[in-house]
Amino acid sequence: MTRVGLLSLLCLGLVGHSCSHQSRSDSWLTQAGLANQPSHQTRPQLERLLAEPLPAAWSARDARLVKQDIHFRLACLDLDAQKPQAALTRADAGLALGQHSDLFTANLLIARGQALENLHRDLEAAEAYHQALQINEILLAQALAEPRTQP
Amino acid sequence: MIRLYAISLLALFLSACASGGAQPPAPLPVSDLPDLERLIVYANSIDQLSRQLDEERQAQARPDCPKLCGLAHNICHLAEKICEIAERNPDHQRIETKCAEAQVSCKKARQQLAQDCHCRR
Repeated sequence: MTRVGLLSLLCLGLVGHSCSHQSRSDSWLTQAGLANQPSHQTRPQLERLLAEPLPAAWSARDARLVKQDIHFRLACLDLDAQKPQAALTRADAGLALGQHSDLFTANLLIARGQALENLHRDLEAAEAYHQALQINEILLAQALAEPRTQP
Repeated sequence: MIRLYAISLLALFLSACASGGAQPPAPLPVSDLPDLERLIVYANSIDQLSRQLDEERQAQARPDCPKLCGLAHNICHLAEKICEIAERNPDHQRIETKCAEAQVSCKKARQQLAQDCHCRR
């Protein structure tokens, strides 16, 4: 994967938050050759990307974000395929890589919440959604504190 | 000294121009002061105008509304999900509490953006 591919991938996390927001990820999917493919074709390629060693030059943070995003996408495919247990396992695998106040962690928490809800584990689902909400609050506070754009 | 004075005047003029429509500075009653004092008065005026310019720029600057609205939407959408779960589970006080907290978060997020952004969602 090229550096451009990585950057495109990182951008996905800034707009994610729902498994249904696939259109936002077009740029990276195009880079990875995965655009406009049915999920049963996308899955093996995502799994292959996950299994491949990432370039040694990448920072640990970049590597985590890429892997977490792939776990999130796979969890979404599992949810689409009505496989909530598999989605939960996938989301937890992504979260096990580290939880931080960023949208990659929030995306995984939402996928976890959706999986738990589908498994009728409502209490845990509400916890996961609430954790994701708190991350969004932090990100909103950070965004409000950023310098504004000059007209 | 004359050169410094000229530079100060030039800076004052440029600051006034850069403020783009701001009120021009009031004439300074400095004609009777010695050069050094006059220079200090002008320097202070430049500082003041510079501060005004910064404040104006900040007031005119635009926030990143798409990003802010997206985050606010996420907060409110998650609040809805939590409250849906609370409705399905009326016996669980803990979820009810989380629902109430989440609704406060949603309201706060919308209020924070109400003035600067017109979020559609």
